[in-house]
Order: sequence, then C-alpha cells, then structure tokens
Amino acid sequence: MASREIVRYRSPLRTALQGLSILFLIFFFVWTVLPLLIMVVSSFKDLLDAFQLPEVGDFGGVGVMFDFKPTGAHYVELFTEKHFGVYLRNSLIASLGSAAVSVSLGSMAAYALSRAEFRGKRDLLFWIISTRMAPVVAVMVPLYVIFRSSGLVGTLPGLILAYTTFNLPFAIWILKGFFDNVPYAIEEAAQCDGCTRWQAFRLIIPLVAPGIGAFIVLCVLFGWNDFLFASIIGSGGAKTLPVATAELVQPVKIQWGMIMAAGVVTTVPMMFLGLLIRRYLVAGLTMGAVRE
Amino acid sequence: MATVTISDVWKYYGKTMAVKELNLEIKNNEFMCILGPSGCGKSSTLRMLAGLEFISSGDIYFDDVRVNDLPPRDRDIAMVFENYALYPHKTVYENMANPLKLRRTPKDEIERRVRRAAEILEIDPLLGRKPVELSGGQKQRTAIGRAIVREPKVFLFDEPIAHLDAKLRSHMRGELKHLQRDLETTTVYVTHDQLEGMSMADRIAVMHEGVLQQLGTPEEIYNRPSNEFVAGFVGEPPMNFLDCTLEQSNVGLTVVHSGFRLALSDQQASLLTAGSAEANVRIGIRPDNLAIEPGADGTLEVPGEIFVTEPLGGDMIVEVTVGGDRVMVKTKIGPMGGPGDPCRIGFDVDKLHVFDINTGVAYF
Amino acid sequence: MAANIADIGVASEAVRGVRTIDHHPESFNHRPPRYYLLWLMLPAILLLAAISLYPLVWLIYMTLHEVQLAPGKSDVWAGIDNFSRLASDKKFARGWLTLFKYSALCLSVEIGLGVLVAVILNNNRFEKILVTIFLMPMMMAPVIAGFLYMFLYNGTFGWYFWLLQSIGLLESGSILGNKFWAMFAIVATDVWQWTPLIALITLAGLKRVPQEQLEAHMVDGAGPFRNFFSVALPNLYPFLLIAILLRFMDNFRFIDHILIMTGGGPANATKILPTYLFDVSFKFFELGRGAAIAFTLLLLTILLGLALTIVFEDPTRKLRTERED
Repeated sequence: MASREIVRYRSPLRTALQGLSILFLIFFFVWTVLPLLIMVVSSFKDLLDAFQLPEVGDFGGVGVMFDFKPTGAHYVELFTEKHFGVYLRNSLIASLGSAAVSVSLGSMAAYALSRAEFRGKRDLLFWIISTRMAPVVAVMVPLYVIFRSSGLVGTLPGLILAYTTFNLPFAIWILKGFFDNVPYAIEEAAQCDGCTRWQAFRLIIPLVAPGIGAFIVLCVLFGWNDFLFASIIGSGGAKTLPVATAELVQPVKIQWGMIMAAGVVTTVPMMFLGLLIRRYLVAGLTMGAVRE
Repeated sequence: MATVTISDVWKYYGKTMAVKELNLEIKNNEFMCILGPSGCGKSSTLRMLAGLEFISSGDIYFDDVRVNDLPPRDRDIAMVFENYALYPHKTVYENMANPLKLRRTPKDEIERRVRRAAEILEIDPLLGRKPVELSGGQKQRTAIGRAIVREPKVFLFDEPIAHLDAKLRSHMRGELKHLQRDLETTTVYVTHDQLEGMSMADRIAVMHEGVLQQLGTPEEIYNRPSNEFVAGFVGEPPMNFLDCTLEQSNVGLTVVHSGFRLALSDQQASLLTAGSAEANVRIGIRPDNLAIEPGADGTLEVPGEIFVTEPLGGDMIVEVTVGGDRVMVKTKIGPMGGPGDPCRIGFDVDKLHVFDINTGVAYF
Repeated sequence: MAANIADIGVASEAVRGVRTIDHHPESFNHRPPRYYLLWLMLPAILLLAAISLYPLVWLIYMTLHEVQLAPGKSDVWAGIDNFSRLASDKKFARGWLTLFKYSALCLSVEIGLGVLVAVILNNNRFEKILVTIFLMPMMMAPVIAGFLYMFLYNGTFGWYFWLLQSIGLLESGSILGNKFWAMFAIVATDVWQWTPLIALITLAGLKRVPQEQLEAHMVDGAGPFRNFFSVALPNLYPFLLIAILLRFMDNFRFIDHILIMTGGGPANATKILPTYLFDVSFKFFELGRGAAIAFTLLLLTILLGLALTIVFEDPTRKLRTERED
C-alpha cells in the first residue's frame, strides 16, 4: 500500500520539471563524488602529476586529471616512514574499546530505562541526551585538566574514556528507543512460560542483536572520525589516524600526496562500515528520531 | 449526476492481474456496490474511477466523456477513503473546506456549504477540532463531509466504515443510504462486507479474483446467485454446500446424498436437463431454508445428529451432522438438546440451488 | 460515540453502586522488581556521571578561578572575573555572531538542497543506488574532509580553484586566504558532507506521508505542486525540525575542518565561537577564561537539548503511532 506510486498525469510542465530534476541530480552526483574521486586519484599521483591542471578556462583539458602514472609510493611511505600502522592500531583500539564499553553498559541501562517507570526519568534522559550533544571543545576543557592530573593524557585508556563521553549517552539513548519497540508482552509471555526475568531479557536479545551490532559500528565510526579529543587528549602516546594525518602538514611543505593517501586509508574502512549498517544509519545519525 | 460506464477495463500491476475485462454501467443516481473479498480487484476499480490509478486497457466514461487521461481534480468526483485520509494539521472545518478552496469558491459560499454539510452529518460542534481529537465515527463523518460539500458527479466510497465498531457501523449504514437518496448522486461503494452491500445498494457487482461474477439487485444476488462463489459470499451464516449425485427415476429427478434423498420439482429438473448437468452436482441451501426439530421421531424427513448449538439471542444456529457432512440450520431459539443428540431436519426444496461441481456455475 | 458509551458505563455503575474496597490486605505481593532494573542501570549511569557530571563541577570551579597548569602552583580565586571579561571581549561576541552566520548559511543551503534531492529521489528508479552513493561523504572524518577541500581550493593545483577561475568567479589569489570567500569555502565543505543526511531524513519523512492524504487531496482538486506544499510539507515539518536542531548542534560540535582549513582566519572571518574557545584553551592555555566560554556554549546546548526532547516527545511520537493504526 505505502509503496504504491502516486499516479502522474503527463503535462508539459511536468516534462520540463523532469528534465530539470535530472540535470540537478547529475549536478549533485558530480558534486558529491568528484572530491572523493580526486582524493583517490591524487593519492596515486606523484608530486609532478598532482600539480597538473588545465589552463584556466580550458574545459577540454580536464582529462589531465587521469593522465598520470599510478604510484603506490605514498602508501608505502605512510606505513614505513610515517608509522601509520601504529596509528591505525591506536585508532582501532580507541574506537573499538570505547564502543565496547559504551554498548555493553549502555544496552543494560537502555533496557532498564525502557522498562522502568520512575520519578525523574525524564530528567535523567534529558541529562543523557545533552551530554551527548555537548560541544566537544567545551567538554574537553575540564576533561583535559582532570585527565592531566590523573595522568590519562596521551594514553589510550584516556582516549577511550574521552570517546565514551559521547558514545555512552548515544548508546543508552538510541538503544532505549530500540528496546521501546520490543513489546513488553513478549517478555510477559516468556515469564508465563516459566522464564525468570533475566531469562526473559535474554530471550529478547536476538530481537535487538542486529541493532546492537549496528550501533557498535556507529560508536566505532564516531570514535574513529574524532579529531579534537585525539589531538589534545591523545596527543603523544595515543596518536590516531586523523591526528597523524594532520601532522603531515609541515610548515615548509605540505605533503599532499601522502595526506590524500592517509585520507583514503582513514575513510575507506568507514565507508564500508557505513554500507554495512546502511539500514540503521539514519536512525543512528539522528539519535533515533528518524527511522527509515 | 452522471452515468458511469466501465468498458472492457483491464488492470495489471506489473505482471499481476488485478481486474479482468470489466464491463459495468452505473446508472444516473444509482447506488452501486462493488462487493468482494480482499484482493478481488474492487479497490483497483474504484481507484481507476477516481483517477488514482492508470487503466491498463479499456475505457471509463462519465456520461459521454472519456476520462482515462483526466487527473482526479478534473473528474469532478468526491471520494471517502478507508482510513479517512484527513489532513492532520487542519481542523475539521478546514478539512471540509479544502475541496471548495482548491476550486476557488467564494469564502461565504464555503462557509455556507461547510456549515450545511456539518449540520447534515451532525458534526457542527466539532468544526474547530483537529482530527487527532476526534473519535473514529467523527473522523469518518468529517471525511464524508469533505465529500459532500461539493456537488460532484460521482461519489466514491472505499470501505468507508470498515474501521468502525459493529454498532456504529450498522448505524452508519442507514445514514449513508439516507444521505445518498437525499443528495441524489451517482455512488460507487466498495466493500468486503456483504451486509453493507445488501442493505444499502441499488445494485451489487460481486467481484472475485479480478472478474465480475454477478451484477444484480441485492434480491437477485441473494436469491439467484449465478455461481457457487456468489452464493457462498453473500448471506450470513453462509450457504451450506453438499456434494450429491442426480438420479433419474420414474417419479422424476432426485438428488441423492448419503444422508437424504430430495425429489426435485419438474421445473428444476428441466433446468438441469437443459443445462445438461452431469451426475455429480453440488447443492446449496441457506441455513434459513432448513427446518429443524429436536428428537429422533419428528415429522421432518431427514435424520441428523446435533454437532453444536449457537444461540444468538432470538435465533439460534444449529450445526447438524447429516450423512457425514455438516450443515448449519438457522431457527428460532428453543430447546434443542446438546451435542450428540438426535434431531430431524427438513429441506425447503424450492429454495435449493444446484451448481456444477467443476465450474461452480449455478443451474438454478 | 465512544465517549457516549463510556458515559453510559459510568452511569450504570453508579446506579448499581460499585463497591469500594474498604479493607487493605495484610501484605501485598512482591514489589515490582525495580531494584533489578536499577542494578542494570547503575554501571552506565555511574560511569556517565564520572565523565560528564564530575567534569561539569570542575568546569564551574574553573570558571571561578585563574587555572594554573604548571605543577606546584595552585589556582587563584577569580570570582566572576572570567565572565566579566567576556562582556568586554570583542572576539567572544564576534565568535557568537560568526557562529550564527555560519550555521545560518550551512542550514539554509543544506535544507534547500537536501529537500530538493529527497523530493527528486523519492520513488526514482535509481533511488537505492544513488542514496548509497550520496551517503559516502558522511562517513568521512570531518578533518579529512577539511584536508580534501583545502587541497581542492589550493591556489596552484586545486581543481575547485581552477573551476571557479574558469567560470570567471575568481580572479586570482587564494580562496581560504580571502576574508569573503573563506566562510563560503568552509560552508561548502559542511554542505558537501551533510546535505545527504538532510536528504535522507527528508526522504524518510516523505515515505511516511500517508498516501491516502495525498490521494484525497488530489480528489479534492489539487495539482502536484499544491499537493506537495499543502500535504507533504506539513507532514515533513517534524522531520525538518529534527534535522535543523541536529545540524545546528553539530555545527558547533564539529569544528575539525575549520581548525584545519583556516584555523579561524583570515582575520577571524571564520572564527566561530568553538574555534575561539579552542584557541583560548589549548593554544593560550587560559583555561579559566576558556571554561567561562565553554560554560556559555553548554548553556546553549542545554537549551537546544530541551527543544530536541520536546520535539522527540511530541510530533514524531504522534507520527509513529498514527502510522501504526
């Protein structure tokens, strides 16, 4: 029913609009894809090829973009001289660690918040969501001072904890919405069948498992893509990929080839993860307010 | 105020056929009901009339105008939807005024017409409310109000009262019929509830699997169903069907079942021979046309055994096992005995229907 | 009608005289297992308190002190000095202004483009594949996006620079070094990354517009445009409101690309408040003053969060339940 299309009757206006919308779609497609394409292509160009541009106004010359000898040198250099392997590992540990802590604690709390009714529940939820929404810079000011005095600055546990400031409230909030959608009647039925409450809870886990999996991935994504926390709290001992990339910018010369390669290394895994959890992406990025 | 002609219309969704070769003429000011189970193509037909669905093949005419390529707004129709389809952000008044506003009716005229429609439907105190504040019945009245503020050529109703509770539904049946007589507008009413069709329509078109099964007045549909499907779909409780054989003897044609034998009248016999019926037939008889008495030794001809009794207040339905088959009998409530008790039932042979066992087509 | 039936019910109960329970049982059944749920909740709540409430207390403490980072030195009580200095801090006021200007630019372009994309994509033959492609920029770390756009804007080898020059919009010089262009350059980066999200939200909203309402409106006599503006759009409002609130919050949550591309320059043209806060706290390490600025930012967040919870609780909930009927 819902998928049934609205009938469209032909009219000159509609035909014209259709043409325009196709043009717009093409424009938007190019606008979206072109930077990504340039990033990937440039990461395989050596210094000289990367600087090739057509003459101003010479639109026929855009073919220059693909006129180069591909080289993997930037990638090799990243992982040998620049030790990106280490940073990749740091990124992985920090984002996975925070995701694991957030989702495991978060799902228990989310279940409880979904099932319990108590005074102040609204306030508690409000506190949780505003923690998540707080600007990272503002949170970082006191966190930096605290972490500094407890020796957490520049360590992976410090970074994990820092990421948990936004991942844990995210996990609680969104998983609560998820549990809300599981009818309590299922658990009641299970209890009637002779389950204990804990067994009943375990029974509904398979129902929410795909969602929980997806939100682990989202937590990883948020941690992985973070730059501010990593640059201040992770600086030194816990350098992650975005920070390492930023450090390729040196006063004398910016190593664009390597930066683009680092961009590819940082971005491609996340794009695959994004595709993997495509179904939950909108819910995740809108704090569960919008479902597809 | 229009005659609607559906001429050789087919509807396909991709490869799925929804409506097959439909021919139907709806007379001016007629209340036509399209009746059938879900998925029978009745809604598709209505939506094609409304212009909400393209016609795969064939033509639809309003009077003499071919409307195939007209969008809904140019067809001069009004439609009431199954889920009412009220605009949630508009008040009852605004909802009802919408079709007039879109047709640039002067403000005072809108006001006058909406008030009048609201009075007819008795929702004038609700005009300032939003749909969320209304009960199901009130929403439904608003939806009808939106349809009747204009004077369209054709009213289209898509199961408008299906979501109301039973009591309200029976009340609305009467009101809708009254309203249609009052407004004198050609009406097409789609429903799966045979009771709505029987009680409101001038004529009923029964559809099944995209095919028009029978077109006729409620009386014709009920008393002379053209096939087994129509016979089984119309009437509550449904008609009893029993597989029998025909036997020619010196007294005439006899229907033979393991539990009973029924002699047919000469007229019935001639209809069967004219239709060159085979030896195996399926007979149908409505529960109302069966008589029953408790106990093993009554005057009725067929012995049976009570399976279950279902009292309905004034009447009761008795399910009786007869020769291995089960039939339903409707009778006045009274002492009947319990499951397993013997009884006797009698057939009103005049009201008997006989169908071809393979095609389901009725001989009479 | 339903109300009538209920009325009758009450009336007849009154007539029959409902008995009220005049004794209380000695012992009730077990209390509902709230403690069980409490225990489940506790670890997360405690951890969250440790990393958000405790720092908040610290933040408030810091706003009232001259914070000393060097070991051995203790913080100096400053009263409300940190706040009163903000009142005369031109950069602070400008930071707010720039933030609103930046957000207004981002949001208007993103909403406009996003809704357009969604409307065109809805029920399009290539909807699925195009949506998947349009998703890609959202997965990129904002800092990488910053670098990528910096590369594209580069005055000697940037493709976008070349493009702008070629169509005659730009003479020469630099995009990010220009007071006028820098803001748009940064907005364009945000628009590139996040317009798809708006489009996705709108698309989800469009799918929820009840088909029957659209059809009823067509029968009422509306053309396709009328149909969009008077039926689809009102149904979209809650979705757009959520999109705006979320994007606005993200506008000052993520300043990564600004830090990379301009650092707030040139001449503070792109120094939105969070960027200024970053400079004060982590470049000049004036943590007391930084804390005061952070405090004002947090206040705005709390206001927005409040708005968001109201939106969460109202229209979307209603929307959902109406669809479930």
